[in-house]
Amino acid sequence: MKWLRTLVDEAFSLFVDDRQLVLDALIAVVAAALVVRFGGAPALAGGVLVIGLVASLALSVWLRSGRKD
Amino acid sequence: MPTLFHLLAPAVAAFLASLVEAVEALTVVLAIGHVRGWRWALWGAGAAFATLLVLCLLFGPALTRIPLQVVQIVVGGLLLLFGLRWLRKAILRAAGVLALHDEDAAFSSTEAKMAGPARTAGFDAVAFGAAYQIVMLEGIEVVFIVLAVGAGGSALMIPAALGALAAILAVVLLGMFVHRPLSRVPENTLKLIVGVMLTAFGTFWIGEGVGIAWPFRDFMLLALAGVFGAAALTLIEVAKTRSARA
Repeated sequence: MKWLRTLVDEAFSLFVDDRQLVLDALIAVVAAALVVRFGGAPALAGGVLVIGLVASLALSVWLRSGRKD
Repeated sequence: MPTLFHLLAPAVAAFLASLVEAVEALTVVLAIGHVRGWRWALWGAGAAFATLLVLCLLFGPALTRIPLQVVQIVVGGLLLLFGLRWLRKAILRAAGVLALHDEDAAFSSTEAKMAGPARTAGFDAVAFGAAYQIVMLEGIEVVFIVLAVGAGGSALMIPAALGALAAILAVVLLGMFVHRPLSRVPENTLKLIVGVMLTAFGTFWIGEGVGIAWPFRDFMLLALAGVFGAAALTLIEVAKTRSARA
């Protein structure tokens, strides 16, 4: 059953490689959904989503590149 | 009527993603074959490939029966996780913050792990199991990407599946020809491109799922890929500077 355990570990590592990045991306998606829900223009909702995702990625790269390990 | 863009975008995304995964799997299968003999290494890889085909046949048609909005949110979310993770890793590797994946080192390390008497007759569980495991691990990602990129219907699923099959075939043929790890494949550049494409697809799907009516419809994918690509190239430079100062 070792292969099964490795498979599960590998599958889960896809989603926990950087939890902060996942959380930030989720916030960007929820923010875009709220803009749509409250009648915001599609371009505004799309902008919130894209800028939010780019900012999440930038924050993750910024924090990791400042660490020495 | 699907346009050429409709057919090309999922095919190219699936081709490049599958190429990266297939090269990694090939390296390990080659090392197992070198050390323990080819027979059970190839049976293990073949058995895993058959398992993956069954998974595709089971889950591919099932996806088309789930309401489109649910598929867009779930699949878009998973594509975003995959894409952002690949993009982050590729950026950090390109900037020198993380070590590049080295196929030659992976080959040597697997050869060392597999060292032991090669079987000339009878079932070699070590060779079969190790080859099965690596092809399953890398293949699951390929299956997921094909299903996710092609989740919009058979018009997208078929080019995505063909793109993945073409990549696997190309890597298998190259492996048979050179019998060495494909260490010259610019894996990190491919990962960066695939990360950009998967993130663009994920953003597009999840955006549609939460109700965003994208301007320019499907052609917005190109603009999204441009934005994430430009961001990735900028972040590589930022990470280089920051890690040099750290």
